[in-house]
Amino acid sequence: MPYIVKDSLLSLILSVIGIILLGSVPFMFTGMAFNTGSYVDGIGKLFQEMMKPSEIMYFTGSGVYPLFPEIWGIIGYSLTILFSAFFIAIILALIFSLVIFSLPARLKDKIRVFSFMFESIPDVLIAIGMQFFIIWFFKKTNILLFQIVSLYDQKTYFVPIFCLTVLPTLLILRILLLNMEEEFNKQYIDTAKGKGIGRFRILWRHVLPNTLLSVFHQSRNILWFMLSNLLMVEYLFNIYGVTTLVREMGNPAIFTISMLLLFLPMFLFFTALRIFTYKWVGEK
Amino acid sequence: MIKVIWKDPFFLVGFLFIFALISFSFYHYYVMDNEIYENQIIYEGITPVDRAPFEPSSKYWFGSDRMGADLFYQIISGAKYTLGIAFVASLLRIFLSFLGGVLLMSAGKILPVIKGLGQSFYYIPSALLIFFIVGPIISIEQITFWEKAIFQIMLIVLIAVPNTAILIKEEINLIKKNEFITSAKLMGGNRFRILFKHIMPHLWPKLVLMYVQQVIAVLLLLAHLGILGVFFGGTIYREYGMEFLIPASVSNEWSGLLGGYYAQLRLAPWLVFFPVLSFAAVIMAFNFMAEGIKRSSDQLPGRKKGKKREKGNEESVSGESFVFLTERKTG
Repeated sequence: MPYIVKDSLLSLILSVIGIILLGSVPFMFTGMAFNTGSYVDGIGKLFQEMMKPSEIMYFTGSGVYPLFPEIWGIIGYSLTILFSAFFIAIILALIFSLVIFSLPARLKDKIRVFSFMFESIPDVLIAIGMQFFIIWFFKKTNILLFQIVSLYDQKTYFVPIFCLTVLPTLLILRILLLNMEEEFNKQYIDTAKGKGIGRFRILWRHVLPNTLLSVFHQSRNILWFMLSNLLMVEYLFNIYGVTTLVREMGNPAIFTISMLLLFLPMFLFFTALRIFTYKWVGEK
Repeated sequence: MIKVIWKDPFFLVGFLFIFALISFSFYHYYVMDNEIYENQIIYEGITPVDRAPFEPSSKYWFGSDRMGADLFYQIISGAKYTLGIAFVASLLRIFLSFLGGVLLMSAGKILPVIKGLGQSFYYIPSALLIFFIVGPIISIEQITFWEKAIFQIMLIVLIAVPNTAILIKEEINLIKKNEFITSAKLMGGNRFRILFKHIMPHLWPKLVLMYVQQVIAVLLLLAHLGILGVFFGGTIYREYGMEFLIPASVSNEWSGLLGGYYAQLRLAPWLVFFPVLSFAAVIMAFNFMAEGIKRSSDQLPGRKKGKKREKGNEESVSGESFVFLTERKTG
């Protein structure tokens, strides 16, 4: 436990430094020329700006606003979409994997072998396909299923969360399928079978928790992957979230602050997961 | 491994698709003179029946844009550039990461620091980071197209190097745990000899797999950047009608096509849909290749097994050296 806290603290500090270093990269280039001196100056300037957060402004079509406290709403919105999509994806993937595992063996193996194709669908395709579908449905039936484009104050949840859920679900499903198969070949499953425990109960009580662990291990990659999905979804559906804010402002201070605010909840989540798995299986 | 790969159906399917696409692209460039059919108005006799943009039909497989240019041939013509960028960028990524990984092996105490700093890449979407850095530079007019393109490719390469280097370093560490490395060290092999003679043969298959995965990552990144409007293919302005100038991609490079046509999403959805679909198809093909590599390297862990056996035949234990105790003729 103390090891985890110490290690997490170290990586927290280092990641924050890393994000600040990345945020000041634009200072490195004057035109195309590479300039180390101005980079160091830029870091200092960035710090000064970030020390006075109340003076940072951002502008929308309707005028100039101070970044704080407006940013909480923007960040909160993006995080809500991101994390609800993540949890929905885990739940859906669990349900699908249970369904697939109760399919006949031949079909199950086919799905498992071709599950790598799940990863081939680009997120852009899903978001654009979704838009086409809504427009097509609207043209056919005159029912606007969902608000496609959200305006500044309006917040749509369903469509972006849906678009963001599809790919992680497939990704987690693949991880689960591969690991479940591996887990099923272990000896304790034979013991459980020998004791006469039903197949579904073995799956639910023994195999599933162990495979969930591997999902936790991969959660950082999954969430990172979802972040670039979030960028696309926010752009394509014209949602004013955190990536839109960064994209439209292009200001190093706003970039750094937004990324830090995006980073902190994710980091806390991972640390919580780590402590949780440690308590559960004693793994660091 | 290299020989086994060619027998794997998954790898072959992916490889053939990519190979056919690139060959067709070059065929189009050299034999068909890079010509893209353009026609703004379709006549039936002398009465005009339809005007560009045309929907996908048997004549225009993927439809056409506002200039009446056939999208199918635009995509074919752009394939070699997009795939070329992906190939070169991922090659550089792997090469630099390999160097970085080897350097990291002697990093010692600062290794955790580098790892921690590298973590920050996991919390920033890479397309956003590139957009953020390139944004101010791309709008400067004085810089030539080639400088911009090289700058962008450099960024695409560098952005992935830290984490891939750490990954490669961990792979090397895994190989180093094998016993034969210990024996090689005991026999006095220096670090470079051990690296090239003993580690590399085992690292190669993993590097090949990583390469294919990096190609996929670069293609995805290109698609994202295209949507965000960061062009690679160079932008020219073409006259449309009498008064409009619309941006067009010079080379028909896919992310350029995407960015150029994105504004017409509502008007002519196929113009966005087909470039995205081609990205998807190519990524799928590379995933097939990656799966093939994974499967064939699972079958055959060490690469040089076959070769070594041929060479070492005469040195291997000969039949006579093994005799049953009962037959042994010792007193």
